[in-house]
Amino acid sequence: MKSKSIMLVILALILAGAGAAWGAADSKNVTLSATVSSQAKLTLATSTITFPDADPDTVTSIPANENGALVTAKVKTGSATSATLKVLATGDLKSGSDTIDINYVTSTATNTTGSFFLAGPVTWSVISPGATVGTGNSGSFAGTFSWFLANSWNYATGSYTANATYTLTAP
Amino acid sequence: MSVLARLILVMILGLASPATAAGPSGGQLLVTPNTLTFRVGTPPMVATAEVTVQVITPGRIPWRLTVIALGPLQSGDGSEIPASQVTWKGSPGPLFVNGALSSNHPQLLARGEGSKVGVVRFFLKNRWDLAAGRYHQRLMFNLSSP
Repeated sequence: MKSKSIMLVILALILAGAGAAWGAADSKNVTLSATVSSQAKLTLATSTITFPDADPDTVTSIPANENGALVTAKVKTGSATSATLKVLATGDLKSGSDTIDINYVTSTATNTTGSFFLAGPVTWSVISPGATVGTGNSGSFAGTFSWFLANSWNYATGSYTANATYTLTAP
Repeated sequence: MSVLARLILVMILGLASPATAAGPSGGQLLVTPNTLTFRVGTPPMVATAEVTVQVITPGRIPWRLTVIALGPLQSGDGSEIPASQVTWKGSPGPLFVNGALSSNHPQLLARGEGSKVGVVRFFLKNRWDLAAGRYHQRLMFNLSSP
């Protein structure tokens, strides 16, 4: 009788323990994937750069009226590659048959957010792919651009124009 | 103790022990689909992906569900996105709670009693400083009972 009682107690304890262990228990693995594509987004506060007339004796480098223009470059690129910002002129400054070599135009930059833009001065070029004015990894960058035209008594009078394209590339 | 009593004891222990192991005997966890895919667009657009979570238990057994990332999201070229950049919103609340992934500690995802179904929508913070690439990591959802 005594052994039966002991057995019942043991049985009760075991069942109680087993009951507590009959809890929910399971686990599952889920694979998480994310595809981040290369992207590039460029904004420049001005699309026109104007160099005013100036006396070559007093102003050897003419600053553009738009100097200090805001520029932003937002890029996503691979960790082993760098995004680049280049400027490529389509030709020299022209006024009728008169020309001013595009190499007389330079630009400088100041970084205000991050460090992407090259301080310069960077000499503009018509040689593809153009002059590099910024480079870096993924990020959102901001700065200002300024442009300068070397002044000279040799320039023929006239109103000169040229076109240039800024291209931000994120490989 | 008689031989019969010992035999009964062994049988009881044999029956009781499987319940201590994780598995369908005490509760079942279903997570579908088993792959979460974020398509990361242009910031600030947030990438989203969702799963349906189903907890099946006999009766009204209380349970808690946690999730842990088994590391940061990693790309083939070694770039990483911290797991904490992934947040989620669970519904229905308050059964399912909101949170952010961790690769260090399991984070509470839901707590309840009995069989329940919920939807968990995950969000990946999209920033310009993410390196381009294809990232992968595993999440472990764990159902347990106190």
